[in-house]
Amino acid sequence: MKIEFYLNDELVEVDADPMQSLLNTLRGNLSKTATKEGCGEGECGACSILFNGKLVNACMMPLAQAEGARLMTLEGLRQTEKGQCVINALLEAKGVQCGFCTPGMVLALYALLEVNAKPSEQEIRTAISGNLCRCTGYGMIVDAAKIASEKGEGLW
Amino acid sequence: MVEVYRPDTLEQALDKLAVGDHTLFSGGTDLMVQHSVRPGMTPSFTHDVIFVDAIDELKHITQASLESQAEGDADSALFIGAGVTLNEIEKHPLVPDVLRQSVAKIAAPALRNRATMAGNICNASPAADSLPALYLLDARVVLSSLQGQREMALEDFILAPGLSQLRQGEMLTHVVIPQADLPVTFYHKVGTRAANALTKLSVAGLAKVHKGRTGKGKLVDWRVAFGAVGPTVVRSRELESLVIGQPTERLAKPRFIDEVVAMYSEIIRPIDDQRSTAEYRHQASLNLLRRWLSQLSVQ
Repeated sequence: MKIEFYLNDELVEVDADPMQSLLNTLRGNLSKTATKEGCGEGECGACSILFNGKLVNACMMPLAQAEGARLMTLEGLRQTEKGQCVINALLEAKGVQCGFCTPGMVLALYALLEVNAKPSEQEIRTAISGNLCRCTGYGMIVDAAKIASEKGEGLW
Repeated sequence: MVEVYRPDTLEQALDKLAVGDHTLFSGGTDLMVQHSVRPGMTPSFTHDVIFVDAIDELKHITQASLESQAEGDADSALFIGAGVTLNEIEKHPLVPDVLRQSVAKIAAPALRNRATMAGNICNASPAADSLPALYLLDARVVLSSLQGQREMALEDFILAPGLSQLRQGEMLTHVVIPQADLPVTFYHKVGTRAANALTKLSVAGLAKVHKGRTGKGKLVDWRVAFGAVGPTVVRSRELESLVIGQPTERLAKPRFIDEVVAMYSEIIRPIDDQRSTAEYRHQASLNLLRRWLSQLSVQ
């Protein structure tokens, strides 16, 4: 089945099983591999993407639901000023170690700052509560959110 | 490979649903996991899939008057469409606090951006987090098919774990929450961690305290429901009626609380499973009931 959607502001067409996950579509059909597969059941957030501006788990959404939608992955977000702001904040806070959760974390922090430019610690922790990190530790990722909020003042 | 349909009107969806077996798919956060095969493979669905996430008319939360057939007067109620996501419910100012708090505890933000409350209801899981609050609010469900609509109380709709009154060709289109003046809220979910944890047990409470001229409070309404401690939500109007009408100062008396807790102890009969034990669930439920009652003694 042919499905059209916008990926990082570019119109793409995919011909695949409509029940195939968006995660496999991105990685397999479109060779966009920033989005990771962790648990495959919506618990870890490694496959986080933005779907019509909202954070979703790409492993749990079938391709059919993407028809006409606007998707954003790390590949697109890193081209933007806001995306760079979050990425640099993570680097500054040393919030990246193995890097597997990082694409999802960047998307989750971006989704938070887009609706809440000055989040509290609790709001940051809630925003990344669906993104598991097994090596960096959440403290430094929370610090990164605060840095992105401060340094990106006026941006968000 | 199954056929998929993604209509944008309810009429088209019901038309398709009328003939043959279908899987209704809204947020799909449970369905994709239930039908997964292994990593990297497309989930295997057995029935043709009807996506209902593109149906705009199911995506609204509206307040409307409710014709009460018994008295003929019009009360107001909140109509939550089946396509409304958990995140939208959590953020909506008209949704009662107890329900907002309950859905905010389901999974994590990315999942709540897709999952719907209608899906949580239709799964009829004993651990469904929206159900205790909805039972307390006397919520009703609207079921639609090509033949028309029927409406029933949510507690009649849910029959057993995974089993509801939904018939073939029918879909849950709206949840109706009658307006109620119950300003005091209690909600506590016990899980292994704050996010992404399935419920070991949960307790939800609602109350209204009336302050008399002497400044003494009286419970004019009091409700409590327990989740994940039985096949369906545990709520007893009979036991609630023993608490309703009591002065709040009685709730400061350990003996009265002990009596109420002892009666609830009889009707809370949980089981052991991979998430918790029957003994823990029973004790923790009663401890939370005690907390809910004591909290009201200072009102």
